[in-house]
Amino acid sequence: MAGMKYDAIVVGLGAAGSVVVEDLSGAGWKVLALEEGPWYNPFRDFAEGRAKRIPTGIVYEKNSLRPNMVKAVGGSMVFYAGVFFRMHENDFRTRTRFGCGSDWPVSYQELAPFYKKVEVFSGASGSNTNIFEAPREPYPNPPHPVSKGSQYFARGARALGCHPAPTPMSILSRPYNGRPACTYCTMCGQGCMVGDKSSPEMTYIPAAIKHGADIRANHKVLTIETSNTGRVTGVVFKDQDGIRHKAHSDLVILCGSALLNPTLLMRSRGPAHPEGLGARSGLLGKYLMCHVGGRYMARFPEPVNGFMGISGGVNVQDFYDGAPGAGFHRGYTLYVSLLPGPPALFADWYLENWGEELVAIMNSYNRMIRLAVVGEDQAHITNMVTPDPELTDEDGFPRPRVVYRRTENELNLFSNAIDTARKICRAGGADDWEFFHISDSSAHPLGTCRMGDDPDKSVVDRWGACHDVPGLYICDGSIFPTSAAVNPALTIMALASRTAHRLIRKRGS
Amino acid sequence: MRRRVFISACGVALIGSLPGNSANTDMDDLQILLALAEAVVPDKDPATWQSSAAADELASRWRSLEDSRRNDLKTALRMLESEATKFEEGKKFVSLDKKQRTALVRGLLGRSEDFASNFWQLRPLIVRSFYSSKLGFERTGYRSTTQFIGYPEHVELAEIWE
Repeated sequence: MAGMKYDAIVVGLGAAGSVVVEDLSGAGWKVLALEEGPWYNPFRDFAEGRAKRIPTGIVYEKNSLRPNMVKAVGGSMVFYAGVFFRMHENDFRTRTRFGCGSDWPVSYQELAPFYKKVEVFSGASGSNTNIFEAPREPYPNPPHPVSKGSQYFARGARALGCHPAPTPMSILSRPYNGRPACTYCTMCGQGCMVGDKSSPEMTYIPAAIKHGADIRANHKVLTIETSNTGRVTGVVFKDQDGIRHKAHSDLVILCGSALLNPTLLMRSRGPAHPEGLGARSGLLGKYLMCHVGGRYMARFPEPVNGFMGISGGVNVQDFYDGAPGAGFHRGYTLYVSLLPGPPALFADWYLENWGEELVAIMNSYNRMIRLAVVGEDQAHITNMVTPDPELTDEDGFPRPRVVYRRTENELNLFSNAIDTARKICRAGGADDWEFFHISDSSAHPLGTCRMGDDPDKSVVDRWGACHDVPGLYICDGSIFPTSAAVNPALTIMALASRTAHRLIRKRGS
Repeated sequence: MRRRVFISACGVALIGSLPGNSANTDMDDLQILLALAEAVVPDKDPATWQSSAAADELASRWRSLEDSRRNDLKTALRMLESEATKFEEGKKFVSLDKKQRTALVRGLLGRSEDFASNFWQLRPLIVRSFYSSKLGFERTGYRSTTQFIGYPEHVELAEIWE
């Protein structure tokens, strides 16, 4: 492989990288895709619980939130719940319309065809009855059945004048393109062994292989190489046996996540880039976002079996654009998510009591529902990923050091979201027992290589092209200028598809 | 199940009666742990923590702990035992009734940081043993995750979104 030349090299095979490698190889490009993590066999590893996550090497500063990610072919989507929202039109213009955050250099209308393309490829399930979304075409598959818990939630929401809608999912509600429908086995979080969850190892990766893409798991990219003039020339990487190689290309597409991209770029120094790649604006690694995440649990008078089925259920986005006078910018989505099961997990994660008090709660376990809060956090320059000054990885490179602290804005938003969740559940018939918590981790790291038109205020342009490094593209969640109040997977994939489309057209012309 | 636990308990008790044999104290520790479990996850069936899948599971988890960790946790069990004697002359923790055990644990939690630290490690051991057992599933209404049986009764899978 050493010395081989490719049309493009894709670094990282999560939500973004998988789409890019499929799109480019589908257009006849010779593509090398390198993923540091393992390549799980869903039908063996997930069924037998062998899919152990490998350490990310991320260091967290004291009192920092702990955003995380998964190194694997398929990335974090291998273990995600499958929630597949589009962002709203307003999300792309928050500075103009709400006086906070930053406008994206991309509009909803520009991204919409790529949202559709990814939804169709993935077989997304949903219903276009959410009045807060831009008008859209029907989903390729109908929404999943509405569970009892979601019905209670929806009833309460309607009683308060809200507009509940089924949550869009990248989990098949009926057989689609040779894959089976969901069996509601509840194991999404441990990897789908049935094949109905549209994570990339089930969808984009098999397609890319058919197109002839060269996909390498357990291969770690050490540096991105550049010429004396500053243009990308390829990558140096380490294979599964620790042997170093070099692969050449004048196009490298970085999809390594908001947590890992900055340190890879910073250590990729060259004669024309003494401070590393993408470092000119001084903003590389800055503006890390993680969402305001949390959970609210309520209890209803009869069994709702909130531990069964899939996450997502029904959502409410009536407070998506904020609540005037409530002391925070922007807003949040609430949706019904799966209650942890078996019950031992629930008692372990959430409860700290014992004796009759514990038993009384546990005896009503099957009457509970759990709601997820996904709130938009503001991009603060002090939240960032930097190279750790002391700790290094096995190759001697500084490990990524994360600092993320919530401000009053995020705490006020969470408090408002819990208040809304409480009102909805009580209006739906819940009793006065409740449990809630704000997450100290996050599966949605965003920002750190922000996108913008001004090279002094951003790392990449509207297409994901690095302002100061010809031939280097970044197209994962790291380029988000704002976080929006929805799970980011679909937007990451749509952006990646848009970048791939641009590259194909550019080369064609 | 009950028979197996009973026989093994008799066996250990006989061996443990020999001077210097540690099997006796190990068995005592397990009995104290099971009595503590009765206070931490009190079940409507009083025999649950004497012989059930949950009791077996707890015993198995206890024996699987690393020696050093188990020894640390044993100090909490010994504290329960010595406190029981103070509570009532000559009494053992296992012979206290449920209310007395609860009061004793609560008292120790308020007074001793050492006890509290170990108690909060014992609690998950007990809770996990009970709520991942078939009995725990029955008490909570939980159904297996490996096969979807269907949504609960009375669910109208109405097309409310159309």
